Amino acid sequence: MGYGFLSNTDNGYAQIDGENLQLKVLASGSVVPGVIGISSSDKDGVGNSLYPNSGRISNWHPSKAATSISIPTGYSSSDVFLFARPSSSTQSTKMIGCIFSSSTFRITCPEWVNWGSNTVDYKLCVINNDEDENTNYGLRVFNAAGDLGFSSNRTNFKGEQFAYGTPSRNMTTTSSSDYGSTVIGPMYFDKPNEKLDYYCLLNGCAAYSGWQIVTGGSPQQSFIYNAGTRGMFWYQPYVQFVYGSNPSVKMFSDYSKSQAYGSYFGNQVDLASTRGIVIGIFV
Amino acid sequence: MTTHTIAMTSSTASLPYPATVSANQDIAVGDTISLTMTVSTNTYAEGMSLTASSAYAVFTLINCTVSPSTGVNSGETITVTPINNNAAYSCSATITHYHASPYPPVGTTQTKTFVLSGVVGVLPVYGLEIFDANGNSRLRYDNRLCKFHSVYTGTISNNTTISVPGIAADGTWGINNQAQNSLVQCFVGTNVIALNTTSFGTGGNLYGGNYNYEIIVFRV
Repeated sequence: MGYGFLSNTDNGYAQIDGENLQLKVLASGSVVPGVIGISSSDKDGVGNSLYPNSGRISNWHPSKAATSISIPTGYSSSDVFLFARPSSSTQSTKMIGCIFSSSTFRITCPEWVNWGSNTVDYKLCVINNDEDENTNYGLRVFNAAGDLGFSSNRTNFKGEQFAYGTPSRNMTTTSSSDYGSTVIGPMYFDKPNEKLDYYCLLNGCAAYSGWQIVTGGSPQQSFIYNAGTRGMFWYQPYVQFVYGSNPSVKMFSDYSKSQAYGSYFGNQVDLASTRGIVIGIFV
Repeated sequence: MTTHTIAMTSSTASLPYPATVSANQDIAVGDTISLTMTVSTNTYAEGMSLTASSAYAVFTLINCTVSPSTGVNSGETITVTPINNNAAYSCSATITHYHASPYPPVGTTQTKTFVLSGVVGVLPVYGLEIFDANGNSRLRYDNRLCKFHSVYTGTISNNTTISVPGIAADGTWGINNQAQNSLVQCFVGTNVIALNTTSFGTGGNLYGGNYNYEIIVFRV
């Protein structure tokens, strides 16, 4: 940079550079993750039905609908960065995903994962010039366009690591874990003793999901489901927090589920677009 | 709030002697050190002697606390926590073990002393730290900051690239394609993001989709 303010970490990473913009926490809260497609009117951001709404496996948790949360006025799904973390270590399988509509988002989980009453904390971030606190003191750094690169009057997201990839999955496996999927990460926490503080960017979970009709005929076109004659598996990338002595976060594709009949096609579920996850702590 | 991990091990060559093993770790208030001190042994009798209560570490502490502070044997891990800022600290632990012919030749035991020391609250000596009104550290010299860089949207028909000056696959640039039902894969290159149309498996594209992209670019 030819002018302005630059600060680096002790190992050389740029913190404030007068060019890139700080995230602003616009909304936050806690919610129990749920599933999507409970209603036949439940559709994704481009109008496709999200899920067959009948014939689900009864001993899973298909009736726990994901809560729809409004994106604050003036912003849409393409403007926001959604971060989340388990609210506590109580939940055993800490898998979460998300889905956006133009004005809402939902935090989801596979049907086979029961969050019970356990919640996740979320923070919805945007780019703007608003501040959180008293602006009579502290440090603000703007870029050449006058946009806020950093303010000490904001809650700050201290990013720690980033990873990206395409979470394809081999359909020949039925394992309900990351086996069979390309895994993004795991990214291990630099501060394992503060594992409960770590958030992960969820946006990448929402962009695309794959469907697979199983057995009873040839592969079907998307979103066609014949209850009682064909099974259908629905795939989505999820983020999984793993708390142990070496806590981490990873992303991989896993199935939620409706009905299943017989065997799989030996097909690759290429969940197509590239997803990125970043972990860090809000302070 | 960093946890440093330090392991100190005395050598088998030092077994007959009253050896000292030292390590240095500067630390900030709020940080802790996970410390393991191990006496290497040659014989069964030497090894067994380290499990006895007579081999518990005897601590001498300056400007720090340890947990647990009693009943700690060789190979066990303790947590060292600093007390006062801008001062030196040290954690010294002496472990007594069996040796058949120690030097100087008195009795059948020998000692090993492990000394961890450093300064509290003065590292590093450069960089930026910003506090909020309540004294909480909002940005510190060792914190990476997640920042928004740009967003790119469009539609492709073939593999292509988009120019992003400065971008590199160096771990500091992040991307995410969040276009709904997009079939576009993207990869970080030098000054470009490469965009590829996806290739499906033998079953083909069962799921619909499009070749729109909406790629957010951020720095970490």
